[in-house]
Amino acid sequence: MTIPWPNPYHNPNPYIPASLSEVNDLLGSMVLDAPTFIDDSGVFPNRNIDSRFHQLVEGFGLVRKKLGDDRYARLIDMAARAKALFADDPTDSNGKTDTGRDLLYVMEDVLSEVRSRRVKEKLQDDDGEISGD
Amino acid sequence: MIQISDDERRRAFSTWLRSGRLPSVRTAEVIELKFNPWHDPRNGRFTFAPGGSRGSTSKYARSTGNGLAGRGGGKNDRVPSSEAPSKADQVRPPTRPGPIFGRGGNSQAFQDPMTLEQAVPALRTSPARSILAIADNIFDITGPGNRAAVGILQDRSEQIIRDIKAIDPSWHYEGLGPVETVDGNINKVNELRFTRASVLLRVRQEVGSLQVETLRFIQDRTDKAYDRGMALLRAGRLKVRLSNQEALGNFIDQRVRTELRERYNQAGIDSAGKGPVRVNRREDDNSGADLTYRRPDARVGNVAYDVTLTRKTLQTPQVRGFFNADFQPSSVVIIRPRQLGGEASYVILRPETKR
Repeated sequence: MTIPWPNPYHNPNPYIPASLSEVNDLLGSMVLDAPTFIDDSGVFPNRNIDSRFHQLVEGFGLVRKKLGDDRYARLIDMAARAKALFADDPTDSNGKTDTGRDLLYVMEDVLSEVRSRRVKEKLQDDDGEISGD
Repeated sequence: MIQISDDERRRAFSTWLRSGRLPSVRTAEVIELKFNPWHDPRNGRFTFAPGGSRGSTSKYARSTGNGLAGRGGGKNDRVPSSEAPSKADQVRPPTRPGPIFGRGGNSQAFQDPMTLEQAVPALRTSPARSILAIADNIFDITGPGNRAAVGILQDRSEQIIRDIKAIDPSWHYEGLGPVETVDGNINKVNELRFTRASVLLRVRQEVGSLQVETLRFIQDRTDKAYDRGMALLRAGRLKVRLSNQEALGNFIDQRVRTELRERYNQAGIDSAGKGPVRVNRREDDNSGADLTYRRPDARVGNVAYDVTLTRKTLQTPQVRGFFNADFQPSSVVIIRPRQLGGEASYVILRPETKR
């Protein structure tokens, strides 16, 4: 189907987290905003479950090399499961949101492990500094 | 369309004859436009310092470090701070601003504070190490929820659009058409203010306005994240590792930083590079024998921002670390949820130390 006019809320250049710490911040933010991820204040009118998980998955892609293929695959799988759980519990009433949040916490743990390892191994971030990113 | 009486029409014509410009129409119900840190957020009216909801002068004299006084919710709704500030660390109340250069009677001047010094006038006159409270009304656009308020806010949006076009004639507003609600118009004014600040940075390399808008944005999002985080915490649905306060603080930090990055991205500002606007980036400190670093939640020019639940002062190592960083911040803005009450957010001026 052809859309007769552009969606005014569509953002062609959404923010995508580009470092491990930025992805970690996004996960923490998603814990608070689950299950719908809609911003009632109107400041971010184009935010919803699709846009949030798009940011997350694209962010994983940007740091894939640092994650390694195995962890990347696990994170993508957990993201897909979490999204399905949140989508099945839009009113936060059947317990699936809590299960989805648990998956977000596991994803945070995976990122923390990678960041700790990078500091321990003195691996530099994109700015040439040892920050865990 | 706003109806005005014959008397008002005559007065407007008289003003036009004398000054060459038409006054805007105002009634007793509409909100005041001109920036003034002393107005009552409950009804938008001017008050005499320190009037409005901020109470009597004596309120400012006492310590606010307990985090238990203030608006919204009961005592158990808040995560209190454990620090009791010394006299030197007490927050100075907002002061009534004197004449501000470049504004005064100039009808073309910006109506909003365009620098932190205009938002917190005492910054210009206070000694180093001072801790200065931020007047609540720089964060909120308040007024009665009626059609008149919508009209006033729409006028304000139009004025800011003119401001932006004067700065960058090639800029075009890509709005979605008329906004009918008060909340919608407040969002539009806030969005345009942020846009004006980003255009000033891009065209004139001026960071002052973005320092103010960043403060306003972070405060708003911190308050919202606190409400959401407290609700989840009370329901036992927030993962707690060390303590409730640590968990809540971490989730608020993460959400505010993410939203700030998104906001800068919307405005076309890179917050992850080497530029003057940075979110949670490493700031080196070469002042000692060994290279160290700090990561303020945000930095705009020479101002650092820290989102926190606990009260922090110059005695806090983290704050001293910010001041020691190579970018030599002139001030550190401490932003706490306003639900904690008192002077929740404040500015700490740089101590006079030699490096």
